[in-house]
Amino acid sequence: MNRIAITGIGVVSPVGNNLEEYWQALVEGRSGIGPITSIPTERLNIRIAAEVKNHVPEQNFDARIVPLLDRFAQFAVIAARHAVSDAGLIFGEELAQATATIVGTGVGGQNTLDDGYFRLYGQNAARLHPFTIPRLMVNAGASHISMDLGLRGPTFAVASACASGTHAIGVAFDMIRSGRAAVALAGGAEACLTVGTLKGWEALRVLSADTCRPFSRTRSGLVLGEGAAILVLELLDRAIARNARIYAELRGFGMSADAADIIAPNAEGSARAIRAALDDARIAEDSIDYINAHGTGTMLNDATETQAIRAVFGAHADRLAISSSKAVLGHGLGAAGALEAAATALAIQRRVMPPTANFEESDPACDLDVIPNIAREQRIRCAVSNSFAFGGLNAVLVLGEV
Amino acid sequence: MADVLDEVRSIIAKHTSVGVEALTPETRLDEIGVESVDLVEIMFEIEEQFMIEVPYNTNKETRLEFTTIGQITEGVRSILAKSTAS
Repeated sequence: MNRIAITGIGVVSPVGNNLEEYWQALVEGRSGIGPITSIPTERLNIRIAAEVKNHVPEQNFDARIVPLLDRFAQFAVIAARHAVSDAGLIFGEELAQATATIVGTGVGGQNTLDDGYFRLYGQNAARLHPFTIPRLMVNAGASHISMDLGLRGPTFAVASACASGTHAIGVAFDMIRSGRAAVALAGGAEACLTVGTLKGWEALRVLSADTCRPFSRTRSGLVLGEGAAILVLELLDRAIARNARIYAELRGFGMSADAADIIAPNAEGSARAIRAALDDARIAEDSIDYINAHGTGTMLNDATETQAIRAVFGAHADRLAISSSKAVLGHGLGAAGALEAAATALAIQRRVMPPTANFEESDPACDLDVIPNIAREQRIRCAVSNSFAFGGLNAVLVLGEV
Repeated sequence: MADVLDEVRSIIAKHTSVGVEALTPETRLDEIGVESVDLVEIMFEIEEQFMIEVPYNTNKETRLEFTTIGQITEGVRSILAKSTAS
């Protein structure tokens, strides 16, 4: 089987839009969660989120192009540009045609939809902006990356709610392994912080009013985030031949569906996806030193994920360490899995396990080593990145040292 | 305010196979098969019916207890009393 390397990473995140700022915040446990500033909050009961700060579209896009791009597509393109420059790739005609662009998103152009409906129903506007449809479509992120960078290979969006970014990376991984693409830009993008979306999340009663505390007994729910992460994947041989810097090797991908509940997570389904990823990587459970958990900070997710990890790893569960990046990043839905895969790759390359920030008290229902608050310098041979989505859709990646 | 209890009973009855006549203030939600996700829907209907906001988060013990129908009714009454007072 072809081996696949991660050779470029680009992020747009609530804690910074370049890789060093992003990594520093994760390692220091500096949270990007704060009061919402980008939308009116009078009608919201929950007024915190992990917003991308200081995003000025005109600094990144020609003023004539801006009306064509929803905020989520802007994030996707900026992350992709950073990833390609980070990888040092130059696309000639042949490579451009052999490069896949696969971008996960949970809901697509929510800002466009929300603004449009407000104009139409709230302000009785007679018409909507002519680019409403191309802005809001779920594939807009993937399409704009392909146009911006001139990538002409297989390009599409993947939607599986909170697992979209992970599914996208996994599908891209499979496409390169199977020979369908030589290089892939894969990841996720989301910009879901609108009044309409937040009211919907409020009604589900799962949002925290203060902050996100994964695995802590005092956790009080999830906090929504936004952003994008794009990884450059390519054949390991190709990366070595061009002397590229390699963050980590992508080793395995596992998927499953719970076929149980549309909202509640399921330990059996989650465990099957983790096992599938380990089997795909052809490694034993005890090769895993670190897990970047889904860790949303809800009572149910964190306890269920703990059960799933115990079910898969048995006694080794007490020797590995896990952490959730969502205390720092919030829950970026379709972007979350990609941001976390990026964090996992950086952890392997830099031999540092980022902590679970905002941690207060241990919970008997989450009795694993969750790296509370303080990062740990430690070699990571192989790591797992978990994503378990609403709809019972699970996606898990295994990454390893090269 | 006996009608608050009746409204709460009729809203909860829609989420259980137990008839409305069997629901009393002492009835525990877990006894009649009302799960967390049902309670989210019940709270939505209560908020719509009484035009109030109920501070309920599935992840947190809220200052209001929602174990029995009587507790929910009391919670609604106290929120209504506060909203008329202000």
